[in-house]
Amino acid sequence: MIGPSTSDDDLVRRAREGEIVAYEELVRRYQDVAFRTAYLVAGGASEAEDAAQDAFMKAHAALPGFIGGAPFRPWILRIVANEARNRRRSASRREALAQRAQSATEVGHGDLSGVAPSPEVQVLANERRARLLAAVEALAEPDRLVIGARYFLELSEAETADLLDVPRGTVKSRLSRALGRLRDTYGVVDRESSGE
Amino acid sequence: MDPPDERASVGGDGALDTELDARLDTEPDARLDIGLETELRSLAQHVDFPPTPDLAQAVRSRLEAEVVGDYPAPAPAARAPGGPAPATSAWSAEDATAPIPIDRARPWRYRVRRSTLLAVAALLVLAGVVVAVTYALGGWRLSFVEQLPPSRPTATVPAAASVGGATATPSSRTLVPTAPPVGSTLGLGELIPPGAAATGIDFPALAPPTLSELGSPDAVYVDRVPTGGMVSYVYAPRPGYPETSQGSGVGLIVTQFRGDLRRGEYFEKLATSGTTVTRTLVRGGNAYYLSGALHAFLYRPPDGREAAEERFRLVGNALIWERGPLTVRLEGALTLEQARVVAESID
Repeated sequence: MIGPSTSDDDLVRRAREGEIVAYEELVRRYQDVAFRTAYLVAGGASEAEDAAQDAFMKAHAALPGFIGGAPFRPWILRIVANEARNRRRSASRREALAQRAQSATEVGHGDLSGVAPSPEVQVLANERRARLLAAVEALAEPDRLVIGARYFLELSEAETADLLDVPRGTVKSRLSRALGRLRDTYGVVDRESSGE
Repeated sequence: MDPPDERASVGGDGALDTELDARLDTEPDARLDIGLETELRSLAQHVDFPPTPDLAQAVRSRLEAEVVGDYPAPAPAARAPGGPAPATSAWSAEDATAPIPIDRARPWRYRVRRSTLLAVAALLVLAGVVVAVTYALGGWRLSFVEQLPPSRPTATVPAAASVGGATATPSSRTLVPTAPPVGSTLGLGELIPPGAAATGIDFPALAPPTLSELGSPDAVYVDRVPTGGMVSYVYAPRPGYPETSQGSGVGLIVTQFRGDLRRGEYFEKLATSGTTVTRTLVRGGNAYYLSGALHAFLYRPPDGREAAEERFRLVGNALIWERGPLTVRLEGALTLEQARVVAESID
């Protein structure tokens, strides 16, 4: 049987032997990160869906060359990134990352000392987040991608390198530079928060 | 299966903070980044990504609808460690960053959008890329092979004699009917008189198709093989129903047998790269339409006996579908739509 406890290795092996449900389970495990990665790169939901779906199809077709025991996630993300790049929207047509609408009852996020903040504090936090997100969106594409990959998608450095199509060693410096430029545009608030 | 070594660097706030602490020593501005990075990490939970579509279902549908065209051979097993990498993939455990030349290695013939997939639910008429997938219905399965075994019609050539003399010559050459009734050389069993009830089968047989243009079958055969028996309606070529393959003398064959054959007993189709498989529906039941190159049709007895007793012949286009407990197969030089019209007319 296939369940949450079935390892990726087993699923890959069974998928390679033609078991479609095994592959379906693999897709289910990684469809979130795959879709979001594609969305970040392509800049549109329909493009992201096509890219992620086609990436899973291509990965399936390429399973015979996939070595058992190798991690599936970085492999599929690499294919996703490639597919998404091919479908990237122009900057003017890109869907901007937005902040999720907050319900009235939603409590504040965890970094405010774990205590549910007052409505006023929540509004302020919302505004800060909106400005930060806008500042990220305003960055040049490579900066926006590296920050989105590392902080919003929580990709590893290696996965981020694949996404950006750069050598692994350059991710750190890219991120550092991107943060610097983000600090410039978001600087005032940042200095406040840093106590300067 | 996130590699722990890679995830560790972003696995939690602690790891990232440690990273920043180290940078504080060397980069004066890093202190400014700490607040910023904390905010960015916190922002992550608030980013409104569009809802993830049900890719798993979509991919599954596409895989099931996949058509076999370019890659006939079943997926090879993983190569031995240290062995030469397959030419189609640069992926290896030793070099996880190697680019995967999938685009070049795997021609992508179709791209399916969600809207298309919805249409597919109603009527799957899709061609796609190919992977080695075995298709199966009750008592029937389809396997892909690089090359078809040589043809060996059971009714005309003794099995023992055919082994040595077999060639790749299509079976139609040896199946030219020399006398009526039509289909008598196909190994479909015993001819029964027109209108006679089929005996020797343990299921209520479906009546022939009711299309007026088709008329009545020219011959009806009953066989005890497989388990439960098999009934075949055979039609001579007629307008709209040309010969199934050259020289066969048959315009249409409709065969039915129990879908719940004994374990290990099944009909098998062997197809090659030239055969296209399209998934479709007949009266709501799963169906596959096979077209293109001739494919082989053979019967595997339940006890695993091999080639000598297989029934084997090459056939043209075919539609095979599940109908309640039965599996029905239709063979003819028909398009998918034509075949479905015939199939749907069977009550």
